[in-house]
Amino acid sequence: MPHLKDLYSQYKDDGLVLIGVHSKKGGSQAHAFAEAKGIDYPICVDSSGSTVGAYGVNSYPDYYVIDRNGVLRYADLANSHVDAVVAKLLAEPAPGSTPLSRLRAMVARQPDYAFRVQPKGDAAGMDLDGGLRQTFGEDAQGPWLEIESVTVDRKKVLPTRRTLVRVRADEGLTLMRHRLFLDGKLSADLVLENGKLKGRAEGQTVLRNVPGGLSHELALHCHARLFARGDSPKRDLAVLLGNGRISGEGSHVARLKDDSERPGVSRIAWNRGERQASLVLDFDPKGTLLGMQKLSTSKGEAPLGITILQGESAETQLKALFPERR
Amino acid sequence: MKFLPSISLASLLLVAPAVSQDFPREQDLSHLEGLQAPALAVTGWFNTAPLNLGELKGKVVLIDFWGTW
Repeated sequence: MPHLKDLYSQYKDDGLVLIGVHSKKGGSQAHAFAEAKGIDYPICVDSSGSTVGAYGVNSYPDYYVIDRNGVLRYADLANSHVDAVVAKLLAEPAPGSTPLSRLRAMVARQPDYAFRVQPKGDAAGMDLDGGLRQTFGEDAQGPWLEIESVTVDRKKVLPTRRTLVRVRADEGLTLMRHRLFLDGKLSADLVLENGKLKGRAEGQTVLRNVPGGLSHELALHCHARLFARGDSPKRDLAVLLGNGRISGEGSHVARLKDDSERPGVSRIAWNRGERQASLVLDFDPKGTLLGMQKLSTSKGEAPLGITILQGESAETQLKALFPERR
Repeated sequence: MKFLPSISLASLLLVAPAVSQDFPREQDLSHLEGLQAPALAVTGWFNTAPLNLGELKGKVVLIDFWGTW
């Protein structure tokens, strides 16, 4: 019974309807039992016994699976195969669906990882504005999704950035979407297919994959954030590591690159242009931070403020830092 | 001796379609499978408004026949 609750919560948004049909015998206790066990899926009672007869039920529990066309595909399925069959039938296209409608549905189901980078009170900061536009379309090669995100710096410290990501979908595509907010405004919006970044805005975002790719649990395990204190323009760098398998997303000036002299080491070098302040972070292929170097700081420069969160508690720490993060 | 392998191959080909069920069932109800699922003649809905299989097209429906006695 707990297993069915898990199955239901896992798949209900993908189109699973779970119905618990209680036997005629003991039917009056079904509601009380469901309530006591915290069952949240639909329950009913076969009060005449005719449904059990029509389905050929011969023991309890017995499982039957109906496909998206209303066809009974699995009658009295072996209990241990229920999960696999549900996943298989959910993967079949719904009647009347098109590749485009499936792409829309797929995108709508993606978790929305939104990271909000808050300005520090003592930083002059950039005045950023942004926007996002999603467009769906279809051509001879199939459906596509285009995401355009625009970041405008009203103080002209940085050029206006325009990111255009076009995603094509095939059956079985796994999409993930990452949104980065700066000063409450959307700054970067990345779409990943099976762990690989689809498209990339020149000079804005870099993402590197290691074998195995990203999983759905890309949730932050490490978030490095740096900013200049004082009156200098603020920059933010986000490094996202998931489950030991990274990928990094550097916003704006940061890039994650392989270190040509040290195989397996990836480096993010953060430069602040004219001011010549640099910070370098090195990571091993598992995304562990190997080292940090501060190469130079121009005269009179306030020290960089650095927050590195890493490990299992990173998510908790991040929530404390960014309470408004959704 | 030489022809034995071809015989066993032929018998496999003949048998295969009949046992091509991809997931095991606990009893043979193949006469019900591949057809529109029988309507649910039930009462006492809980956690939901009354459901009708005909209105659930587009969904995958898992029916759990259960008892508490």
